[in-house]
Amino acid sequence: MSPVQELTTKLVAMDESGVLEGVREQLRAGEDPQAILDALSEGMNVVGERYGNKEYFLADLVMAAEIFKQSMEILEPKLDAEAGNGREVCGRMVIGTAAGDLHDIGKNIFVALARNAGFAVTDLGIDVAPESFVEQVKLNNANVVGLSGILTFSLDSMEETVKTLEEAGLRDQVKVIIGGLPVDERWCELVGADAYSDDAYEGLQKLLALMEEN
Amino acid sequence: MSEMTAIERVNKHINLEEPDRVGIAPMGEFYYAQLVDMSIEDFLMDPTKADEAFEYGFNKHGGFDMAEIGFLLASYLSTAPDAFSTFYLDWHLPGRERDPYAIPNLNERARENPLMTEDDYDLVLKHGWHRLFSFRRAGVEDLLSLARMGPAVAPLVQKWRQEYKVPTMIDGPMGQPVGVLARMRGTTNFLLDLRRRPEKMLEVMDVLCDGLIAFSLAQAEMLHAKTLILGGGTAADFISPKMFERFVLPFILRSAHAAVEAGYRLQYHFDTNWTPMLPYLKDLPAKSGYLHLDERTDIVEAKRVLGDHLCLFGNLKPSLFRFGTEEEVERRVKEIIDGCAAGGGLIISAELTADSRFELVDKMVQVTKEYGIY
Repeated sequence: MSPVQELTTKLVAMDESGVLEGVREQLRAGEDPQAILDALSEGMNVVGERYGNKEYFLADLVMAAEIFKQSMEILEPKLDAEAGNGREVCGRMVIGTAAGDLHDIGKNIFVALARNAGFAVTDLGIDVAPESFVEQVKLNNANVVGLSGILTFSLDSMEETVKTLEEAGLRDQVKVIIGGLPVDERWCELVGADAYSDDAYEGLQKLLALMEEN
Repeated sequence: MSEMTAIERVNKHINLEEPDRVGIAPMGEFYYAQLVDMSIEDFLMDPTKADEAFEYGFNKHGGFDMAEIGFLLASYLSTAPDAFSTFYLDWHLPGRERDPYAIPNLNERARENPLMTEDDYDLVLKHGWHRLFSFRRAGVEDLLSLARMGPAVAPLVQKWRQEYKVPTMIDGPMGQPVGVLARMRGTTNFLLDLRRRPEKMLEVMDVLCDGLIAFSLAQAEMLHAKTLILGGGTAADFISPKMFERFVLPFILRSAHAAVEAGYRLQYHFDTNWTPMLPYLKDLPAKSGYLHLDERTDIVEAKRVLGDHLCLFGNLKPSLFRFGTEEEVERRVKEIIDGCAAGGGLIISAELTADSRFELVDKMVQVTKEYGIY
């Protein structure tokens, strides 16, 4: 196994210091940053699959996402420096917890996974007004809006947000995905969203499927 | 068989015997405030008003098998780091940061700006969990309100238990460290900490657990409690069974056994999917209370695994009562009864949201009373 391939194994094993030291070491040794990134992405794919198969748990997903995020902080300057390198942005997402709701556990995990998957994410935080979504969609030329919420009244805020996007003439430009514990198919229909999930990993798979439809 | 009192019925279920019918006890909280157009602020801060709202709902639905006494105030003002304590957590309360009619809302701070830093673990070890106490969101007046709780609640407890023969659902919290740390650190940080500094976490949990037990039991006495709520914390499908065995189970068991040994009944409030962890719950004291499971746990599997050990409670999805239909509610209640009622040990319930619809809640109550007859 090459040192770069070892990064995949270490990420899957949640060896935080091993991965970070390995990334630094490989860069020092002149390894192609893109190859390092590919190895880490492969590790994330394995972790995701194992989570989907219930071999891994939320804590594993969170840990792997954290290691990946830290690795990217080391890698990104190198990737930017080399023309043609880096990841293709597979979507530009504006996400936030719907107005009136302060919950952010699920949203944060979804954001981490989406970034790992190659989305450029603008996270607006919690209790986000519909107008802020509109403003940020315009500013970032986003093609995805993520709305999160746990409280049932979040549905009203989500519905209002989608309506505001429509009124601003932006609804056709974006796919809307909603997430949170109580979210289901009926909620998705009422809000007028394109996809829903009560699980961050499943939500990402649904979002990727939506993007492929485009 | 002549109709049993609610106390007799619930006792039978908890002892895993068949009473006259399946139990029914919605966890309504702010739903009752909405029924009488009472502000959530009034409902939360005044146990007498909360009781008036609950009694209205109780009568409108033709009675339940448990009464909800206004212990919520004690939770939000608890001087221990309970799930609802405003002295520890970033709760936004009605009449303060929120509209008087809005429900309390927790700023989870799951990753950014946690209320507890990594360094605070050492402070807790050195000084105890009171080191985390803060007057950021509540003040001395709230402490005085808390002190007035005991005398305010006592006649309500007396009324329901002695006069109406209805047991109270929850009278106070029973602390355990996992939930406290997950909330104070933020769930994401907490999960990372479990991997990054496992030994320190165990040490802190050990210190926290004994302190929380002592405090919870003292507070229970003040609140004239019979039943305490013990949460599962951030557990279930969040972590692996191996991590669960190490970081969660020992502390839940320690708190549960301490409460039962002190003479209290427990509501084991285990949200999220506990299906993979059900076998572990055989270690909880048998017939020591009732196990609240939300819709994510397979309750029929819970009956198979724990049917000879603990009474089951809950399992209807809260959002069903806002977005569902009467047919859906009826179907789900009957499914649960068909799968879990045999031999007793079943109380139908749902954690109602404030905007639940009366007719859907009523359907749950009436179907249970009619279809759930043994």
